[in-house]
Amino acid sequence: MVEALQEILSKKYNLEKHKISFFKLHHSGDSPHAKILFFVFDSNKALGVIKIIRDFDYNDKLQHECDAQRKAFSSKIKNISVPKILDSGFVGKHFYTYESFVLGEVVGRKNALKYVDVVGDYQLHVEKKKKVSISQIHQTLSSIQIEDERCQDLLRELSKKQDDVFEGSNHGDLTFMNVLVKNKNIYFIDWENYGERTIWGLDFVHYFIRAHNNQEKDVLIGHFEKLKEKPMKTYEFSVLYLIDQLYDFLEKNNLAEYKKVCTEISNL
Amino acid sequence: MYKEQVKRLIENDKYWGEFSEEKMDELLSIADTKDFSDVKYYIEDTLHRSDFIFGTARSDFLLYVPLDKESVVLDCGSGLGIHTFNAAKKAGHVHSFDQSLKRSQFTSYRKQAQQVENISVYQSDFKNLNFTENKFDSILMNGVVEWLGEIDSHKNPRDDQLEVLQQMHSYLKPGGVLYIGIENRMSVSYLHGHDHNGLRFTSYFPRFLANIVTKMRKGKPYRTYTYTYWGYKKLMKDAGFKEEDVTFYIAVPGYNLPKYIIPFDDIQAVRTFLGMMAQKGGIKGKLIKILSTPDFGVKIIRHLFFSYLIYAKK
Repeated sequence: MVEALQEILSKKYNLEKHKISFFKLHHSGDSPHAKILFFVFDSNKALGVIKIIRDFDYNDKLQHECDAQRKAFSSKIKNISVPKILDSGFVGKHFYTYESFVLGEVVGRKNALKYVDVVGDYQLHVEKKKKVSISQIHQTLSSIQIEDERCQDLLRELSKKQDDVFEGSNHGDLTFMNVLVKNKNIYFIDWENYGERTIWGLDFVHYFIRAHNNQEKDVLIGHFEKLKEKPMKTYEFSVLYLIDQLYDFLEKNNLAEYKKVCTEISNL
Repeated sequence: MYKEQVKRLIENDKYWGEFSEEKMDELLSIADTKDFSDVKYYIEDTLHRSDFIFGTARSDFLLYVPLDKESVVLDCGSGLGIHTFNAAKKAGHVHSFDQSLKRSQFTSYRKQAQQVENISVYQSDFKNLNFTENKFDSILMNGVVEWLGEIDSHKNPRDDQLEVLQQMHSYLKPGGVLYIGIENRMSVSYLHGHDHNGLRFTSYFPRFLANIVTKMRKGKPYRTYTYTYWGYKKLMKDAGFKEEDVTFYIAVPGYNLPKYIIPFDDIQAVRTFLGMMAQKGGIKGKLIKILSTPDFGVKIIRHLFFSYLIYAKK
């Protein structure tokens, strides 16, 4: 891998002129499909990060993230930055991306609430696309046999909702761990779930629920109503809460069905 | 079936491991009577050792070992087989041995249960290995070298270590790589942690003093030698590796879970890493920031990390 990484860098930099160093910076988990990051720099100046997936059988995950990140970068989301992909390709059997390095602070649990407005503002600027009927979403989600009681409750509650929601592009896993702050600039990172939950508003709701430590729905609605600028109506928040929780449940308990449902709902 | 698949090169047996022998017996009994999913459940739920056995992050040192489908690998002291299986995904064939029969049997069980063809399992010590010279492309010794003094066939534990390293050198093909994951004798973590003998501070002591203290407190001599960077350099040189072919990396938090792998000889890399550590703030952060400002500060601090990954090319 060391030689392979050097090969990637030699394509970009004159290694005879510049002393480029790199080291394994981090990994995103213990699984074979976790991302491994190599930090690349020159005389203490950060140049970028090379990402690979630990087991190349899961290359497609990184390829998906790479496409999503490129798309998000070029769409110039208001007030939000996205690390730029500088290069991508294959090194041996591993797909890699080489992207700009953001040495920022992860928002983290402690500061999560401070950034609710920022995420809300971002959500307001995401375009609402075509209408999607809740009954169709409910139908798709309830087509899966789930015996869990809480899940059944969520489905029952969703079935009572009437109004439509909207399709919209989204990050797919916007949490306080995936928001970085650098010199007051806000960066969204980890785009691997992009396009999975294609319902407008879910990014904000997903962030909001986690920022409030997964409190009960009614408590969350109470917090939501106190927001000065609301990115959505309280009713929408309430519906999106149910959908977010159902998606989460499926993702945790039945990944294959989760993926299927994501695709089906995005095609509605 | 899987038990017979273990090639026994020694007759004696000695069990040690991350969990008790009784638990190991229970694990093998589940393996004999139930499904692989039950075995996995027992490991996860009762032993809480899933990452030690099925994890992948602990084998990230393999990222720096050149492996392809032609590679023949030897995993020494392979335990329950974590690195054997992770290496087997990338290599042509992995020979895996451990001194403990039960641990070797578990590796063999997993090979059968997961239908992995490119692994051979042995119960052996180093003395009884009977491989030919120039056989391996890579040899893995993760958390092994410090225990070689326990072989106890020489007066000086270093000679036991050296003998095995020379043997490994001979097993490597020209261009092959020996990987060693091991502690740094001078690590600051020994100020609050324990040495391999279960005692505090003995790692820092001169050997004769560590020996006296260990004999007094544990009733046995001090034989689990670890070294400084220079000590390992000398050891590898004496084992037959050229100085320029031995590369050191600092593993953080440790060689058993190398989240960060920083090239030891690259001051720029070490400084950058220290800069990241300093960013976390606090007294430790401030201290690192002050000490790592001048070059000599970085050069000193890099000798204080917990462990090394050593890659020696034949």
